[in-house]
Amino acid sequence: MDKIARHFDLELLNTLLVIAESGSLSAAAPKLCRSQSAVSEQVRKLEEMCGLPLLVRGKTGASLTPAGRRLVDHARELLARSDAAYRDMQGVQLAGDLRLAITDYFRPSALPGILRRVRDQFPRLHLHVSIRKSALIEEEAAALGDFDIGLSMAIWIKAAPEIEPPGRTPDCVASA
Amino acid sequence: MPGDGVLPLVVLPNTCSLQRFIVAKLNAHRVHFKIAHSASGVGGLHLALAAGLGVTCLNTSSVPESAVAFTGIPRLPPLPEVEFRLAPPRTGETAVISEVTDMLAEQFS
Repeated sequence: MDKIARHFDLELLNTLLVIAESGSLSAAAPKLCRSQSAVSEQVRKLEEMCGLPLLVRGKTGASLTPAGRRLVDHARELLARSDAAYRDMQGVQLAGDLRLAITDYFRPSALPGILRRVRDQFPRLHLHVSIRKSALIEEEAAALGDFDIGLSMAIWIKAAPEIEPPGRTPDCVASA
Repeated sequence: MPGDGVLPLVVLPNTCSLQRFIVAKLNAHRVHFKIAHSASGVGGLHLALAAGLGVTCLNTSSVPESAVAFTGIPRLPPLPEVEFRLAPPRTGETAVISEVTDMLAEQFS
């Protein structure tokens, strides 16, 4: 028994709730995918933490003590809050497919790092990356093509303006 | 640079706008060149450069570390700059699309 524990274990509270709803430890055990002795041990832990008996074990099943009934009410509320928090995170951490169409010329050395960051930040996301020609990306972006994000490169034909727009890098000729 | 004064070019297929642009530019400046090697993508272009097969034209951010700027003869025409563009946001764009778009845009600076 951990004497300094001050937080209820949601697993244990869930066990108590399932026992209350199913009327006995033996009926609750299969619903919890645990043995009856494991369920009994969970109740014992909860009772030790509260310092009160929560269940009265009778021949026909288990019934809640007044303290047990109060704790079940709290348990229902806490578990509902926990479910809501979980669903909220599922919404934030979006799942699904993300289709990226990108030019071959865009920072080839930086791309692996970008893909890794996307994976770390959105682990439930399926990323599809296709390397395409810029002209095709721009054409399809206008026509609502088969990708979600398009990144293309365009040659700056006009004379360079005085203020550099962001995202432009000078061309250069390279040889081995 | 071989002694015949002909520039050995490493290129992508002419379906690539940048490659068409290079060839047109060299022709306009009457630079003699030959296609020494043709690659299917920038990765292959990098390999050909590393093998010393020739000269190519790349935007600064895709020049591999092992490459050096060509300063020999023939003199090459100056080049314009390039611009990277993110496809404009669409209506109904999800949060994840916006976030990944922002991550890509960070690379621009």
